[in-house]
Amino acid sequence: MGEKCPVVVVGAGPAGLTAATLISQYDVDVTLLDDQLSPGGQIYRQVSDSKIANPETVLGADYTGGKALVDRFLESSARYVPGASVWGVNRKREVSYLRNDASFFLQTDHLILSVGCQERPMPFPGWQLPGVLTAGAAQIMLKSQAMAPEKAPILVGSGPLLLLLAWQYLNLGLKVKAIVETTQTQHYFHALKHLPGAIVGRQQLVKGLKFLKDIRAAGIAVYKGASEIRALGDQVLEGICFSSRGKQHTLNAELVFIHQGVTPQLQLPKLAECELEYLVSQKCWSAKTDQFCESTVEGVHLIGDGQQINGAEVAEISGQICALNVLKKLKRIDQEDFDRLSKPLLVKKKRQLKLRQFLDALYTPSDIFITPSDETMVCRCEEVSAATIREIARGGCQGPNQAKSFSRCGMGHCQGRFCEATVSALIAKEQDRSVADIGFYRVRPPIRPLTLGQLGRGQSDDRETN
Amino acid sequence: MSYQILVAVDSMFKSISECSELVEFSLNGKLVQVPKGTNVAAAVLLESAVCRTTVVSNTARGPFCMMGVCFDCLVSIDGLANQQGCQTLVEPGMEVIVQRGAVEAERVDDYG
Repeated sequence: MGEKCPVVVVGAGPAGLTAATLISQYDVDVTLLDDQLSPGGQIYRQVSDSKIANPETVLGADYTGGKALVDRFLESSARYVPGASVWGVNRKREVSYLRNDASFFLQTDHLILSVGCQERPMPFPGWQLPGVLTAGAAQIMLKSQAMAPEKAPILVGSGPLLLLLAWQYLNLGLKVKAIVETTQTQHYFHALKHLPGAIVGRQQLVKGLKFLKDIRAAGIAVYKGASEIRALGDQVLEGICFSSRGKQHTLNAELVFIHQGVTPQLQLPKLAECELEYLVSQKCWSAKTDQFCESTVEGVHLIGDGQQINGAEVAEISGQICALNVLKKLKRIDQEDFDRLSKPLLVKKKRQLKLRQFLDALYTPSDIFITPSDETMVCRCEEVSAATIREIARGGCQGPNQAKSFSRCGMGHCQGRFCEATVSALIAKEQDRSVADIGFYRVRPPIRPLTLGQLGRGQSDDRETN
Repeated sequence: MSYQILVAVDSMFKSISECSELVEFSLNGKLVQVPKGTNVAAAVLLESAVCRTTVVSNTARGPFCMMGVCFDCLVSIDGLANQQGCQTLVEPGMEVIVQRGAVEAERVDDYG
């Protein structure tokens, strides 16, 4: 099915761009499909064409630094297909995607999936109200749309992204009403034992401390160790209440940005039948690979945060390692070159992962968001509560796939992307089993809405029209 | 069924774009101008917090993740329902309509 391509990369974030650029330097025909209209992924979104004045000062040098990566890719011979939304892959490495209202089909021996992460669901009562957005959404509004909140927002949750977002708003002279931190005291203690290893990433730690200092200096109220979070409002968000250090607080708010870390987007690895494993340290599933980033399915390579959450630096290193592995398979480099070039990268990656252990421990999601209270809406699409999931779990429901039949949970528009983690965790807790044992949602193509017309207008390849 | 929720909410975001080129499109029958390169969900957030009512309970819902994962920003675009607003750029003359409930996509003339 579809035109044969030597190498296909899906996703134009740091991992995908790095791999595509490096492979194309060896005179290999690389096709990169990305659902956005400009390269950079979510982290470097719109970096080559920012609509914000002084992006380096406002958004930070880490963001604008991504432009070099994007430029190198655009200058490479890799074929770039923007606006391509991949809706299906399989273990034969056949790729189906939607572009310009029609479907296209490719087949390759070397499929590199670098599809990135999504926000980890952060369910609490009222999180479905209009006015509650993810911190990632607020960042995307800033980076790709040059839009900032009209009303002073409240930032709720944990993780470096919240601090970065607050800092970026301060740079724009915007007000942040409060930061409601859900990091629990014991998380700081657990993180401490990983601190020595994290010294390799001290620059990043220092940056985090600077954000904190600036936030304090700006006089933004910071509430620590928050729990019992609830969004208030009848039809839209009107406020938020929570307890912090034994005190109850209620704050008015029209905008709340929530964040609880990110998890890999695993739809495509699942469709390709790659084996997954549950990571207790990150409280989420990841896709298994060997040290050279090849999955358990031959010729399917997984890199970046779409495989396992390790951040942008590791994504780039993995992109390089994966590229070398593919080049070796294509006989563009020999074993000796491969060993020589990959060895320092593997060492570098291992060192970077030590920082990740520290961050994982510090910013581990609180249990209140893993197994939320009964009244909380777990499935935003089908509006299924945690109480319903607990009830069917007590009734003997074997896992998330059976939960669909009982409750329609996971069968709505998002196809389970925003409830899977919670449903599995709730069933596991209720039945005193592990999430690894409970399993995950099966997915089937198309993973994006597709009309029959869009499927029927299929062609084997549209790259010539670029 | 009340559609008051679709008009009662203020603008949530403001543009700080350096881009002076504007694109005009129709949002529930109202002509709206946004900077070129704005996506449909972001354009909705310049006007309101709400982009539809939900399939199950017909309550208000707004854009949530802005990266194509949550499907909360579904709108009807040029007559085709259930389009992801955050994944679609506003084009001149585009007609965007707020969806009510399951698949019904109707013009709501009093959209604020």
